[in-house]
Amino acid sequence: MQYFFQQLLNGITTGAVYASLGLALVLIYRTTNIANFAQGEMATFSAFLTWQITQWGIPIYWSIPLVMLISLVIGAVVYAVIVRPVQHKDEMTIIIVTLGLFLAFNSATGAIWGFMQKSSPSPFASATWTLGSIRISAELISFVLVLLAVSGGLYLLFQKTRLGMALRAAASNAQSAQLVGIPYTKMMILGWGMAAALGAISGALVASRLTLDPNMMADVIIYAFASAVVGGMSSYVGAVVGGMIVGVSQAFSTAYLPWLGADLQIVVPLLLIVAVLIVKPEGLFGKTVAARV
Amino acid sequence: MRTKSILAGLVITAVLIALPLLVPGYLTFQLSGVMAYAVAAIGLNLITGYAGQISLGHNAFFALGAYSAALSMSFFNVHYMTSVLIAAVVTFVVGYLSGFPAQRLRGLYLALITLVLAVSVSPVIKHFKGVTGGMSGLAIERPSPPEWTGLSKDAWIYYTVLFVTVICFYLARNFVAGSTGRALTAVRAAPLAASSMGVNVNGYKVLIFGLGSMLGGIGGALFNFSIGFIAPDSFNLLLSVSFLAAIVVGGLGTIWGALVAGLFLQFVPSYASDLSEALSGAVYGAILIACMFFMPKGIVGTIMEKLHQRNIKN
Repeated sequence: MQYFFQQLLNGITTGAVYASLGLALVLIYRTTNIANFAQGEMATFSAFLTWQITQWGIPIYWSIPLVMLISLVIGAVVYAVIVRPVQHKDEMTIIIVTLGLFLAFNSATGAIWGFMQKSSPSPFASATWTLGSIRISAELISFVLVLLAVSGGLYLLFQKTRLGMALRAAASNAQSAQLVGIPYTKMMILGWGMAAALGAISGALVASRLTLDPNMMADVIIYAFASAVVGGMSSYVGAVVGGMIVGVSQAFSTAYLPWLGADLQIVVPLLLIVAVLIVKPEGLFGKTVAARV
Repeated sequence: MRTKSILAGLVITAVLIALPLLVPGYLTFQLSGVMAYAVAAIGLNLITGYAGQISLGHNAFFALGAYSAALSMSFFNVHYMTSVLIAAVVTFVVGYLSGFPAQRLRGLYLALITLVLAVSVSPVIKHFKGVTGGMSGLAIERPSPPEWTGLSKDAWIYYTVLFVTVICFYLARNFVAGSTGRALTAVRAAPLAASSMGVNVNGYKVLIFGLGSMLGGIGGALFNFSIGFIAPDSFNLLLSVSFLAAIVVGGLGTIWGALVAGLFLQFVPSYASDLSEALSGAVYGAILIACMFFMPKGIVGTIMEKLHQRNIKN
């Protein structure tokens, strides 16, 4: 039982990482109706930026907010220059463009900082406490706190502020939003910028768990997509719950299905996702969309 | 017009047959690779270009074809041409079965499911290392020319691959040029209208997944001949994205675009890494984005459009 809870906590820690990137995906999907395959690589780029800035002697607690700001600008520019011209084309075009961005960001990171692994400074304390016989790491607590702060912030922004309402309006009906004077393009740019800033947070989380490496997000982005899609792609709560499902199932499969071996462990959470999608194609928290014909 | 196209066909055939005698051996070797990739690219073009189903899992079928052909040769000692047939059957069955989720899911969701396929293939191969050789890969005996031909190994492989490629292109062209092609276009462009016209939309989606995957598998089996060695890490997600990039550059929904795609897959990665090792991905990405911006119909699609416009003017 103790082993079970320990694994559960491990799963929640990993799940928090997936959920944080999943939230960024949902944010972009809700504002611009685009699934951004490059989100993970943009986050990796941000994580390397953080590393670079700490190398220049700026403390990590300052460099993370600074990088979030820079990432916001990068996200905004990427949207304005590359995504906006194709935004209203068919889904295939958009997926191909974001895949192109994925490759471009991945190789830019590698070209600038090299493909060698780097150890990054962690903003989190490395303490652990024991509760009964269960170890609780400061990492777990900080990850969960970060996730709560991010989702709480998103909730407040979208439900309680005028800006949030404008963002929602622009996303749900572009024409009507423009008619009531909401600057549509600016809202879209802001959505992408905010998602990139969120990505910077998940980049920092991943980098603090593992070593810094241009390909560190390759698995994470797939699991983050899985989290977002399980949650229905347009639900923030769904993304968090989805992230937890993916993280915990991954931890449990490692713990209880050791005969699968290290290689196949990667596949287990993915099969779960396939199962969810086949049974419930709109995701757990998604609304069934009725298409007008 | 008709004599002209027959003449053109004859000239192209003559050039293709004469090529190995004219160009250096290494280029002959590379051209076999081009054709193997091209066959797989028609498969993806059927799924994505004609039927409008986004698939990121084409590397899985390429790998499945390559491995089932290679294993049938090493375990059951089958002839190398039989191994291509076995690869075709195996990938058709698996592709057909994995086409079922495609009935229910579209766009993003389908992309995600096929993404799962794309990232699972290499771990699965590594896991069954007793059969597949795991990380260290599998060496394959490349087909040798019969004594009487007096051809080099590369030339013989070129002709073998050319033979299969011509059959695949011919069948695929007939497949999409007829009523099936029109049905597919309808399934992509207006599924509801298609079904009210009596087109079995779901049936076509599953069938096209099977056939497209089969061509991917045949491409993988031909790839064995040309390279003589396979390892799990060459069938990664990047290969799938490259396949997609290649058919986009060649032209979605065009048969001949697949040939451009084959050239692209064989030559662009090496030229891109000549340019800069680290930036090869950026070159790929830039090509993808630029193509979507300036030439969304791809090379072949754009040329066809130009020709069409000229015909109308005349």
